Amino acid sequence: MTASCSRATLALAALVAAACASTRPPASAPPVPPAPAAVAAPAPAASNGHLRAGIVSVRVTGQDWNWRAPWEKQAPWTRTVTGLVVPGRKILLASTAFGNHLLVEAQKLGSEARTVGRVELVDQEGPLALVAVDDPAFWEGLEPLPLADRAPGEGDVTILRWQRSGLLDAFPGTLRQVRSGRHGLSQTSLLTLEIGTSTDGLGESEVVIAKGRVAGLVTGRTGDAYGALAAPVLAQFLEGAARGDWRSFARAGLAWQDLTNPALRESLGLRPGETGIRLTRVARHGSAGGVLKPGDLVLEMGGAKLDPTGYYEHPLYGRMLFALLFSDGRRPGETMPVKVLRDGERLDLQLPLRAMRPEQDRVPPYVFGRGPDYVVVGGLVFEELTRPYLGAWGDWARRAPPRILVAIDREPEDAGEEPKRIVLLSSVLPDAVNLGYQELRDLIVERVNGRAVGSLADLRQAFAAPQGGFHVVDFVAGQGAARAVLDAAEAQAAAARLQQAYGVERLDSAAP
Amino acid sequence: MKRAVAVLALGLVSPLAAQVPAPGNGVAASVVHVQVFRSAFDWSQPWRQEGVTGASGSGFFIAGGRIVTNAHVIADARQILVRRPDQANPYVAALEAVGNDCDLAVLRVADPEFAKGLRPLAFGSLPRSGTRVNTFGFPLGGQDVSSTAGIVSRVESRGYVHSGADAHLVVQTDAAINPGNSGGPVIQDGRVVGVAFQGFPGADNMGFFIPVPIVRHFLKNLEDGRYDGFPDSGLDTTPLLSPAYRRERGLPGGRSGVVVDRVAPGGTADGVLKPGDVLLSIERQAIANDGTIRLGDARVTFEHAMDMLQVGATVRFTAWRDGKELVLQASARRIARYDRNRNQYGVAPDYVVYAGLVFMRLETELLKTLGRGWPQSASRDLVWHQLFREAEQPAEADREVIVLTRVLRHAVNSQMALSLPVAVEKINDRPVRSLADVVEAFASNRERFHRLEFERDGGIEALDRAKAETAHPEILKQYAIPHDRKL
Repeated sequence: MTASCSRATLALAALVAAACASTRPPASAPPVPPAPAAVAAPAPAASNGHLRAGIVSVRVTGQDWNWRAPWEKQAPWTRTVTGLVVPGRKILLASTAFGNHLLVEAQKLGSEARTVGRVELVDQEGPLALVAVDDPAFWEGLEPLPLADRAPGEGDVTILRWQRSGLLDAFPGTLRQVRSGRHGLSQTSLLTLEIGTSTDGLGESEVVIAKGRVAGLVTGRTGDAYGALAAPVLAQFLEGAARGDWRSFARAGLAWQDLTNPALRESLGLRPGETGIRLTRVARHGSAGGVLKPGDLVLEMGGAKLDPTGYYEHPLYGRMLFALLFSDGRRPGETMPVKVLRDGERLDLQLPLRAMRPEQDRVPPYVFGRGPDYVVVGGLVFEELTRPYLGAWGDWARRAPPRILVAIDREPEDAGEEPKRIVLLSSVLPDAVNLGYQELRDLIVERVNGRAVGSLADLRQAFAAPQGGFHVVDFVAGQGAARAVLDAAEAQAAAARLQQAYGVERLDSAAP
Repeated sequence: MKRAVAVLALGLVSPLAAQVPAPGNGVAASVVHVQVFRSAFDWSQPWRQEGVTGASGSGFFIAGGRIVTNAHVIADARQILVRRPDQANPYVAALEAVGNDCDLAVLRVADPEFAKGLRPLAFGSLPRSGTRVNTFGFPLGGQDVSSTAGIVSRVESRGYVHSGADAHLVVQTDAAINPGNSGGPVIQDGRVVGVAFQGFPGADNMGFFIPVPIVRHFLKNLEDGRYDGFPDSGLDTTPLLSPAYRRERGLPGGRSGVVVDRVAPGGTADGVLKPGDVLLSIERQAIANDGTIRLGDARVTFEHAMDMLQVGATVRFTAWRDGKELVLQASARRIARYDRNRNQYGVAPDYVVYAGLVFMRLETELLKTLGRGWPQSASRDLVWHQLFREAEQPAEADREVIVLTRVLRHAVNSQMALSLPVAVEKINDRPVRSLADVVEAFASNRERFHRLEFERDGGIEALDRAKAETAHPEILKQYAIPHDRKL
């Protein structure tokens, strides 16, 4: 169990990374000349000039919704992201700044001018974004940098970043290891460079150069090192984008336990020398959904033998976690062979590789490009639980109400084709209609007017059918408050009053 | 939590803490200093006790040659010494009874010399807000009995931090109540109206005492030589502050009460009240829409009326159900399983060790070993069992949960990959619902492996039975565990 992919933990890391990125002060470190290694590589390695020609700055202005007052937006933000010039007059960026963006402006070295760009493709599972700039003048003097065709071995790298002053900063770093990792808000394991550097405040797509080629893009800090998406991941995204059929990276959707205990392996019927892992959860919409089952012992994946902790021997990079097999060199739509021991039988199965959409998680890991779904009835504000909602608690895994944490981690994630959502009474807009309930907040709703509620759509239907002139909202037991009752006619009459008193333009996000 | 009470206030002498002449002469002479040497049990290594620490508090002499003090003063005591303010030598005292749920204890000194010339204090009644009271005790910073004067600020129901799971009537006063005051009497008109017991760390001029109705309940209950605690209504209720909810329940204008949301199995109201009932009165006292009843000048939760009954007494409710008022009677009952929500004192924890695997029962005291933030930091399975299961699965309310708390590393078990503590579901295919089940499941197995199944994502594990049998005594010896179980 130690190695199971705990969603809570990983999401936490992701949120921390995002928070760091948006609150970072402007860079103040003096520019450091590029390390000699960066320019002394053999042809067709980029020269110093090439480096300058291949890196731009992208200023992103955006605005997030206020998940605690879902009819509102928060204050707008601006983030400056380092961009990599790629073929086809596009800019590649590894950043979570895209999704709730309003304006994207590109700037190149030696020019104060900002040119408006278009976001062509965003995939938070990278996180990766492709920005097009239509003005041909912008591209004068710019040239794509060569991507490394594989992750480099250990050694020195140079990290390049744009400064506000319009200068290119270069920092020395050390590639500590190549491993499988997650970036930003992504739930997918991708090929990752772990880079040590004494520089602070990285994580907005700074470009990692090794042997004169682009080795990766920095996405954030993990522990005392930075993580970067490795060049093969970037290449995979660019190829898909060029084909016009990008469907994200394939994802395993598994939780497992290690089989390090020899007595356990033997009791499960593994032969001497035979190793693997035991599955404890299989996500319905992941690549293993419908094929693998909890309790399966996975012995091989993609032709590679798994060790008792789920690692395999990568032909280029050594020991890697099996989750990487789903994304490394493979695409959704392909299949991957897997060998399992199930009920004493050794089975050869094929996994249809699939990407997972955020809506396929019971608690969507991110929501971009739209505001929260909400319904306000009689001043009671209802929302579906999402990670951005949890984000309002900051370190939510330690601060959110225990019953909500239990619902997230313990209850079946996706029992049906459409995952059941956790619907919350988020807060109450005090009014005569809801006297006695003003202080209710963050309560999981079980039923409304006698109907079970597994989504806001259910809730809307249930509110359409009051019981004897009353709306009866029942909460999941053990949260303190058990039930709230509203007079249905009063609730309707209060609508305009509430809209005016609290500045709510629409009481239902689905209303026209 | 155990120490929260002692953290009371750090400012030693507040302006109010000046010595004042004791109204009701001679009260001070009946106040005793209580010195304790304690050794608590270690819930993370249940076979051992923690080192000896000292503590001190106050107490007072009452009729029958007894001394009243706080339960938290004598918690985990191995030796209790009491000293009269007019004498130098302490006397050894025995613990006669303790009520951890109301933070009270009774001590007795065997030596007849101790009580000579000592005047027992008499009890008064619940003091009213705004009246003056004096506290007596041995707060930090001196040897002599100290008295402070203050005013009764308010009377209300509040959590008792010593048990961590009980709420009873308390009186708030601005008389200084500092560490060491615990267990000392609060006096009005020469009579005891309460026992000083807790404060708010950081809040000035806010001390709390246990008022006389709670003290009397405790002493009355001891008359048969056994302490039974307070009865539990077993009710979860919602206030009826919403006019819409009152109409929905069909409650006539002018009537008030609270809606019953849940009736705990085994509680007083089990089989008598139902979810959806509006509880109108308890013991002939009308319940307001905010759930309070009248108590003198104050309003306190209706649960106080339950507190005034002894276990086994008959309680009278009236309730509004289906458009009618019903008069209902029930026998006051205590819910024993709620002890697992209380802080534990003076009781060695139960456990079983087998081949280095340590099994214990899930209870608050065990979860506290994970730190104060356990409701967020413990595994969600354990949190669900401890905090939410009863409400969701009342039929299994009394079910015990057995937890694998730690693995004492030895070659036989060191390669297990476990995230601890974890709830045990089955051992050798037997459902595990008690520590006795753990013993039985291992002892009766004849297969080559012992197989353990944990709840939900906890996975499974196995032990080679022959190797485990050999390793078991070795591990006990290596880790200095005198007994492999305490049941």
